[in-house]
Amino acid sequence: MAKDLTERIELLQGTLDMLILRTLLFGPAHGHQIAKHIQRTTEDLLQVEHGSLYPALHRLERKGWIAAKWEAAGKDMKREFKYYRLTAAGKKQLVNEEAKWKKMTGAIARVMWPAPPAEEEG
Amino acid sequence: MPFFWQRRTKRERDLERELQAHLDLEAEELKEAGVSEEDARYGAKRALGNSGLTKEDVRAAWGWTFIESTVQDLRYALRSLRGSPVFTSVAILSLGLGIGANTAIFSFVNALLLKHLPVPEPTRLVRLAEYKNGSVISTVFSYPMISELDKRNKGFDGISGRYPVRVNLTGDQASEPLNGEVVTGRYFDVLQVKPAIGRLLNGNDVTAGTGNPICVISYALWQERFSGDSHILGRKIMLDALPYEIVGVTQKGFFGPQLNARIDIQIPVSRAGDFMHGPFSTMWKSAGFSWLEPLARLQAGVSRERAQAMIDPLGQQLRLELANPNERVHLQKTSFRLADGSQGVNVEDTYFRPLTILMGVVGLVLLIACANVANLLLARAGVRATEFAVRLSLGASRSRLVRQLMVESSLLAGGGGVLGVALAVWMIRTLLLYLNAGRSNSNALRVSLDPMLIGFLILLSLLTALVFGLAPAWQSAKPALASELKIARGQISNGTKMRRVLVIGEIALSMMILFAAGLMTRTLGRLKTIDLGFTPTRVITLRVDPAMNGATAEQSDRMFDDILDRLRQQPGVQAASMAVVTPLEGGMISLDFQVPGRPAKSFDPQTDFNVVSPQYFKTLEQTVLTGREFDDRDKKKSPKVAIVNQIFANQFFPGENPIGRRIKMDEDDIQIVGLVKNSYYQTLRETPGPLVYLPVKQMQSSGFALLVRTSLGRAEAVAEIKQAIHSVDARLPIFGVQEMQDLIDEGMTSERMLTFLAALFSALVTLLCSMGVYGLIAYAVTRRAREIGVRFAIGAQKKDVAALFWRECAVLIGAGVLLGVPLALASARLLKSLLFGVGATDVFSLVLTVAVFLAAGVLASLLPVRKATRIEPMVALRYE
Repeated sequence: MAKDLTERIELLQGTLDMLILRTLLFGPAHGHQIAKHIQRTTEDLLQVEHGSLYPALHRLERKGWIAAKWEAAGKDMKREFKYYRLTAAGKKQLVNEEAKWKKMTGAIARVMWPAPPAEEEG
Repeated sequence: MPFFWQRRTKRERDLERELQAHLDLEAEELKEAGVSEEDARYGAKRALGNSGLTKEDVRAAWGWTFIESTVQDLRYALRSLRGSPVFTSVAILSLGLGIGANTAIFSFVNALLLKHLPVPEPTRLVRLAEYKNGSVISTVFSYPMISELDKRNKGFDGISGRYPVRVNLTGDQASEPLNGEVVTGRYFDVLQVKPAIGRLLNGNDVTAGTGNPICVISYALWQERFSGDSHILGRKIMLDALPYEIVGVTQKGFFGPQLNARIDIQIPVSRAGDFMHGPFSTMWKSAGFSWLEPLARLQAGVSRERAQAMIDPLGQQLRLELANPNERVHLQKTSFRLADGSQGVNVEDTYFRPLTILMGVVGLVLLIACANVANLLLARAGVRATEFAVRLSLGASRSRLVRQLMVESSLLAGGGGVLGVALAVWMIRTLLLYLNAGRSNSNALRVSLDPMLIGFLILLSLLTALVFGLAPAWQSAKPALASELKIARGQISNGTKMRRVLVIGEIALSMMILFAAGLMTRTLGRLKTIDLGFTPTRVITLRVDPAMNGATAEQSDRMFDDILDRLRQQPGVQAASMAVVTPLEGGMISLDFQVPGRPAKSFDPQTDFNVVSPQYFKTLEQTVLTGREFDDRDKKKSPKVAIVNQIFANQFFPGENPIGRRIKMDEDDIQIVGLVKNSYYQTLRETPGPLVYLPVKQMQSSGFALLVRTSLGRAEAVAEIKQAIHSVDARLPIFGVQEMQDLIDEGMTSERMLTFLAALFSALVTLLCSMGVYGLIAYAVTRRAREIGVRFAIGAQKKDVAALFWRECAVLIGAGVLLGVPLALASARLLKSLLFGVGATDVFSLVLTVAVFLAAGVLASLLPVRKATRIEPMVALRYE
């Protein structure tokens, strides 16, 4: 079981980081909100385990791509949440990751679904 | 600025809050979806999975984890060790003993066997020895031999010779003489010693005549006696009542070519006559007088083998050239070999064997201590199996657990190391007391903890932790649940198997130590009960030498007479005499005696002898069987007389009365006037041989020892003797004051040290083995409590149950002994040269060793077996 988990984290690592950064582009959010956002936007296709979400958040924080601050929120403003926001370095990182991801998916798509040869010649 | 572990606690709290917030929100969502509050809470927790593991992963993302978790491990390990004080103290104590013993013995090895002379490139120094038929015949050479070797050799930077002399620095009131040496011109070139001030001796100082009276002193002597006086050069000092000019001071820290001696003065070899009184004074440049200890320096890049190949033929050729023409015919073929000289001229060979053996013994002790601690750790791991299972399910990773255990092991080893240092310091001090008893201060062995040893200690501790910690850690890394299930089914777990192997190994190794201790104890017993032929207690020996103050032979002679007279008048003195050889001091002299018409039975042409004064036999309480002791009748001009011992008499005059018989020495015709009991002469390990005693007045000699039998205590006696001597001449230096019994004890120093330590370590390892056996049997009783209950319930007798465990005990001890006996016998062969009066396969010692382990096994098993026979069936069955 432990082994499975680590394998999945590794598989998702690059993408999860990117998804988190992209989510934070809309504005600061806490961990739960980030998870829910990814889940909702992908119509529950991607379940973000909190076992991978929080290590990823702390890793990104340490790299300086996101910053965190405790802020009161909720109905009565009594509860405090740790809000993450994108830093300038994080924005740049997101652009890089996105470009890389685009290239990668493009490349994979060409292998998986090759276009008809005629079109390629044209 | 907060320390990182303070930052860490805050971060830890924040993480907790962050995850809790997530959990709360998740639960709220579920509640909104219509789930009951309680279900929502559990549902949220389920959805989140193992939060302990998440935390671990987050911590890993923080970095620093290794150091932080190590700090955490340390704190946890400390707490857990504090929690079981008995385990911790037993473990630290046994490791401390092991590490301490190793450090102490290694410090001796370091000081006596590994240290080099404090000169540049000591490894290029070599000693030279002459061999015949594969065994050493000489380690000293004549002056012409050494100077010719130096002149004609290839492959050496230089070849020098030296001879130690005692030098009396007069002007100081009758102080203890200094150690000095006469040296050849190349001496300082070979050692590459530099002067602190002035110049050192060279070839020009050794001339055909006696040369100028000049000397070089040590830096320490310059500071101590002359307060570092900068005008010391050119100053005259009185050496043995002769004026000598100081031409230089050697570099700081240089004390001559003997590692454990302090030599303060160097004098040109041509002046040897000033310090070696008697017939030797003019013989220094004679080719027939071999006396100088050689020390040579190899040229850079020349190996000892190559140098030897060059020096061997040269030596042989010089032997022939330098031999006296009449002798050349009889000259036998010898060869010349080189030996390591990095430790100087005389290596402390005496200690080599005992120390290597002790090194082996303490190595075994440490190994046994490690096995014992590993055993304890395994037992503890068994008890902690549940704890580990809980921690694994709470998200601890397996590697983390192993690391945790290794941290615990390292802490134990560290504790053992600290205790070890304290023990090592104590042991070094105790051993030095043993070894230095009877050595003068300047010859005393000096051993201390130096940086090299601290390194050795740290390395040893780490190695120890690895050795004893690895097995238990490896064991606990395996799935805890499975092994627990196995035990429940009544099978033997791997842990128990490993513990058995460890205990059996401990016993086998311990047997080697016990057997050695047994052999050494028997050796010492044999040495102590030897009939010496005389009574060494209450005899004080000391040396005085009037020639050191410049007295002539006649003056010296008269002075000794006066001293003996004065001594005999003292109330506390029962007898006083003098002799050239003090029995059992290690010295010997021999001469060619012949008995006209009676060929000797032995093929040894020379017979040991001693030159003694009247009252010698009375002083030693050596029985005169027939005839008389020497007395005042035996003057220089009166008929020559001798006293012989029983062996001499039996050899030449079997079944006859030797009194009145004649023997010949050179041209002298000597009449035997007395027959004395056989006695030991040179060492305790010899077989007494024929011995001849000659009177002092009829045999020109030098270097007398005074022997005084007293009825007083040692301190009083010495004071009385000193006072009597100084009433004859207040300037006479007195040295080498000793009680004869001490001299004999000194001859047994290595044996006593070995026996003492081997016995100490034997007791220790037997205790450790007993603990191991006790632990295993006790564990087996607990584990099988239910089975015993059932057995009792269906009618088993107490003795049946007891037999179960006695069998286990028998298996452990039996296997250990079976393994140990061949090991003990094999290792005892290394002891052979140290044994006396007992063989290396001594059955008595072996049986005793086995008996000790049987007894130890029985004692160790007694308590747990009794506990097993008292198990109440119902209690045992209810317990599980």
